[in-house]
Amino acid sequence: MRILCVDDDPIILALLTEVLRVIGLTNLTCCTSASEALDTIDQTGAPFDCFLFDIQMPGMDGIELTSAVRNMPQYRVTPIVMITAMSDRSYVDRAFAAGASDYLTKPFELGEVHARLRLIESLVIERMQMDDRNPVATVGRSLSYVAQADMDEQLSLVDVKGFIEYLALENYLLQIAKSSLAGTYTVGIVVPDLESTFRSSSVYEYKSTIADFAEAIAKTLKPLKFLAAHAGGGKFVCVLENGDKFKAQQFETALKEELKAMDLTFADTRPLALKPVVGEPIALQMESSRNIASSLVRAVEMAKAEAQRLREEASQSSSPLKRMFGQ
Amino acid sequence: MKDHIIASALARVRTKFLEELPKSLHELQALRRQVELGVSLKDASGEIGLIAHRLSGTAATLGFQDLGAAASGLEALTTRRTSPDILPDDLLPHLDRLLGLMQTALDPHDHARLASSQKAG
Repeated sequence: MRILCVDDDPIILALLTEVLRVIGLTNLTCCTSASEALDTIDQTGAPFDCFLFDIQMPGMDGIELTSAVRNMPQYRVTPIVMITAMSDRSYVDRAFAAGASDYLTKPFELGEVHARLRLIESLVIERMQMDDRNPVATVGRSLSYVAQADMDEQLSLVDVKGFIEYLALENYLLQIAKSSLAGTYTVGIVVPDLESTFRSSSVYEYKSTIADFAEAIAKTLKPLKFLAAHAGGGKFVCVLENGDKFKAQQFETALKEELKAMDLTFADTRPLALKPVVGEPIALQMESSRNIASSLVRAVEMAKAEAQRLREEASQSSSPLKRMFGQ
Repeated sequence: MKDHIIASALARVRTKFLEELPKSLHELQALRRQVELGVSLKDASGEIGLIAHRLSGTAATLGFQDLGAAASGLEALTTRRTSPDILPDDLLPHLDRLLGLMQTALDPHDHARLASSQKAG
């Protein structure tokens, strides 16, 4: 795994070099400023597989560097780990919004550094193996029919403002749980029947629709500070800051209006009439740290339960007996 | 086995840290004089904060927990002050505590060199 490490403190660079060597990560390039890092990225032959960026550096800081790297097409989903002493919530929010995948605070807990980088290494290897197995996969697959693996995939909708990768959203929650969760909520959104609707569609059409829903969610949430991710299939999850006044029902109505205005269609121009369901938000302030990690999954479960309730309600109201007796 | 490898890896960085520490110590001592004289307080405070930030990021990982905590506390003081030209009353006591801990960290390692460089300065 080729790693680029950027920190203005040579002692940190020496420390990371030694610490990573212990777990066999020796292909490390070090830079002492963001501008030097950008030059290095520009001139490198083989691309980097992972970035470790300090936040507070003279000149361009690590968050600005993260944005710059994310704007490079080849590094849209490459893991970027912030290595920083800045544990304030505002820095964490800005770093993840800029595209950070994970966040390690100084002073380092070496076991944690090793565990996080091992996880990233396995993710990088998994992605490499997928590319090796089928180098034209991205072109060929987009035209083929949607398979279950496509439905299970948590898409990287990083071009949609506020959307980050699902794993990054999990890491974000775990990081902010170390400071304050007051006013922080998770909320799930599901699009019932999306999977069955797209079962015989192309991967491209399916992914475009997911991106359209993400756009609509981002636009509707816009007045709030949030980060969101695709959770696979027709499932989305959001983390809201200052979400005390968030009302699921109002948001759902606004989201439906937004989707209606977008006038979504299938490739053959048939109208797409899928309606999202929003679950009740989960307040994280009172959750135990163990529950924080599962709050994204639980938020989606809440939305699924709401969708199920609505489905049952609809089927009851349309039952022949009820219609016969005017109920 | 792995603990042993980590310990020797950290020892190498710790040596480097202690080699660099006299430079930070002298810089902080000069900045302390600047604060005492009331010269360019804003710049001095910013510089103190930057050095403290660096020390807080590395010291504790390398086994200097007290030094790391003192640096972290000092950094917080320099960033949370309300006015750029008025420094918190407790800045100098915090800075002195950090300077003392830096000298303690250096004592067994490079006391003689520190003393001679201070004389030369």
